Amino acid sequence: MKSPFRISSVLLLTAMISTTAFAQTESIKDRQFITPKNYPISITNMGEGINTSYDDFSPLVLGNGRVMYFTSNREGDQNIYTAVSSGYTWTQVMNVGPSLNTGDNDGSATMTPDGHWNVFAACDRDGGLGDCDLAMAEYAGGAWRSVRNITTVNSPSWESQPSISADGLMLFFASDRPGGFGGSDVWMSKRGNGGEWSVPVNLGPNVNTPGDEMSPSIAADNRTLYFSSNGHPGVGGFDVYVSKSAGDSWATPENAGTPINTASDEMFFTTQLGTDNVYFASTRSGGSGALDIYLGVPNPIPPNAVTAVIGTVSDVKTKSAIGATLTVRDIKTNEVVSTFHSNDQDGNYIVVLQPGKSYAITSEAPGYLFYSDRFDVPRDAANTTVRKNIEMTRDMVRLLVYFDFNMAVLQEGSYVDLDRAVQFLKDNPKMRVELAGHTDNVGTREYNVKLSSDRAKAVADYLASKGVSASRLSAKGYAFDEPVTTNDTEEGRAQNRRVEFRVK
Amino acid sequence: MNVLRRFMCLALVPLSVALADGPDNATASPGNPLGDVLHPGRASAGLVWHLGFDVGLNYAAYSGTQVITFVNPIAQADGWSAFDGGNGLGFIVDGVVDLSLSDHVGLVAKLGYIQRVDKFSGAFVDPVFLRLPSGALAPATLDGKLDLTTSFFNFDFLLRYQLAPKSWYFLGGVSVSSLLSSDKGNLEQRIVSPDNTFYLDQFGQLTNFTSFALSDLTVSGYKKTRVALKAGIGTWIPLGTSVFLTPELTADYALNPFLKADGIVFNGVTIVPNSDARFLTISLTAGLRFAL
Repeated sequence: MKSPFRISSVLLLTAMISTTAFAQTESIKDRQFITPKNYPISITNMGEGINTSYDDFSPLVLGNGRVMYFTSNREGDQNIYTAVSSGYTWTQVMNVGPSLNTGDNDGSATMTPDGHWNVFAACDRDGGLGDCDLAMAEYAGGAWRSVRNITTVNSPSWESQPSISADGLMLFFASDRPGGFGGSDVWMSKRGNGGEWSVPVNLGPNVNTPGDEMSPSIAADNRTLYFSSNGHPGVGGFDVYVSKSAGDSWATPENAGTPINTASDEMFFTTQLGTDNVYFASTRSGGSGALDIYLGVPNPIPPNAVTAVIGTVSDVKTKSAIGATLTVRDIKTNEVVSTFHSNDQDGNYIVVLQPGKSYAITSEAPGYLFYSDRFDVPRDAANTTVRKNIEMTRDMVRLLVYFDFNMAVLQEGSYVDLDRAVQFLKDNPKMRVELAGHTDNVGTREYNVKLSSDRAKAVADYLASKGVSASRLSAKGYAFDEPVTTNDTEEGRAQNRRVEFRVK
Repeated sequence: MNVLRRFMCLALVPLSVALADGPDNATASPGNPLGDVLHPGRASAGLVWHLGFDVGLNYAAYSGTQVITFVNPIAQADGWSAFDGGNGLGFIVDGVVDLSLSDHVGLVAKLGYIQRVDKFSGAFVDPVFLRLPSGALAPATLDGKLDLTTSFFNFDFLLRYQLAPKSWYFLGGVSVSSLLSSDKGNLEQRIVSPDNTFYLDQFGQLTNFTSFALSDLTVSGYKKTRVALKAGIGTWIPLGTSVFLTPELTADYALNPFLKADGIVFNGVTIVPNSDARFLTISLTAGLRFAL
């Protein structure tokens, strides 16, 4: 009797030890374990509603901070859900419905900060390339539309867990396609001017290992990449890492430390624009079961600062919301930096600007005149949020033009808006416009009449030089007869010095 | 032990397969199972195969009267014993094929080997007669203990249900056992009365021993197959993207007695039936599952 009992006990014990040891070896290969940095961070489980006993993961809080997208398999298949912030808690958890979710697995949505473009993992769909593919959708009319497979990015292998950059021009994702470093790797594709996505490139050996790299998340600065890995030295399971871009390469990742990382899995680390909040999913103990979503404050390794311009776009008369396209151009080079959209339901928009440049943001919508504003973002600017409501008109708009002091010579920064005016007139060939010059009240009336007239004519001359028939253009100086605001302050006087584009 | 070695090898086959197809070599393809947003090449829905093995302890609890026949060393004749209950402890190893039909439902097939020592004790119900030196027969009362080593193949066909993917699950189904051996019995019997009596043992030698031990006892009457209902719980503990530790606690209740129902038959008449003999076995195992 003793012998078989001993044998069985030893067998059981040996099996437990060996299986655990084997499994660790299997999951981490030659992984090194480290003593991580500990950061003073508050970690909070997102609680009931968001978290269930099922997998709840891939949190994404939109730039307005009011809507969270996340993925869960609480209803069987993996689906995309939304929740609304009531200020203290997240409520109104809803399945986003058939526009994004199907009877197969869908999830891990990533969006541009304005919530206009959505890239998500769509698995096993008809017409797909195999396994999970990345699909793209556009928000319009209060719903997700135009869902399409990003065929240039996908392969017969597994593509999932996308992260689109704030400017909408870079797409990071995880894939186990051939050509990587083993397991799942992080890949990246760039969006061309025509909207097409390039053939993906592997992020290289600094980021990818023979283990699994998953859930990349590119911060709003377009340079800080968060991802999870079980291949880099870590605490155990999947840990969160941070790598900064250095040109076309990525620096050696830094472990996000504790308490973000534990011996359990931590994945889907994302930042919330304009805040120190981070969200991530973890299987750590004390949760609701499986993957839970957690809030961490502050971010232990924050990205570089960005300036967010937020506001609404509306009709100047009716105040109704307008779904406008907001194009960000480098005011010096006139190159398009990024494109954003306002929500056609409530007019809200968010534009993200990187430090060290001056930008012109031009708002355009069918039936309205274009409208531009200038934003100068210092190189050392801190995280800033600027509110700017845009009211669009159909008959008159202020042009974003700059002149030398007391002269009628256009400065370099004027061409962004003037070139847009040229294109606008070419798109509307029957339109006739008046260029109306205005000044502040400094100086004599005669002097300002001439100055405003000369400046209006300089603008008309530029438009004509770009191919607009001079017969469609007229120029007139109004001096300081039509101020838009007070001339008692420098800020007011600056607003009054302008050239208007008036439809006749 | 040869049988055990064979089963250890069987368990290692899926292990080696899983190693060859581990995460680093996994490439999803249109032919692979349904895609999963979380993991490459692993589905949370649809057909997913897991191979693996279990090792652990097996406990048996007997109820009802167990009649075991054997050659009685005292009475110079075949004897039988009826034991009221008993229990046993041994080990189990098995190879497992697990097919996930969905996030919640799966089919599990296990082919296992169990070796267990069952312990019985109780009074001998058949009156035993001691042959006295005078040639007369004297009735005697005996009790005894029996340690019986059995080994058998076990085939389980189970339905697995879990509330959430890769979480706690419930098992239920049928278990069929095929007896390999039951001939390693150790019998200890003791004459309770009469006390200190000289008699002739099975070899005709005069003795007054009151207790005897008999090893390598052959116990007849075991059935070759046994059918049981099986139920249990387990859980998936992820150890990697496609490797899971699976502790399980299962119980199976035999639908038929492990001894032949007719018990002791004399001249075509059943003297002691076995119909009420049942037993419950409980297995506590730890296993590995490798997603293919």
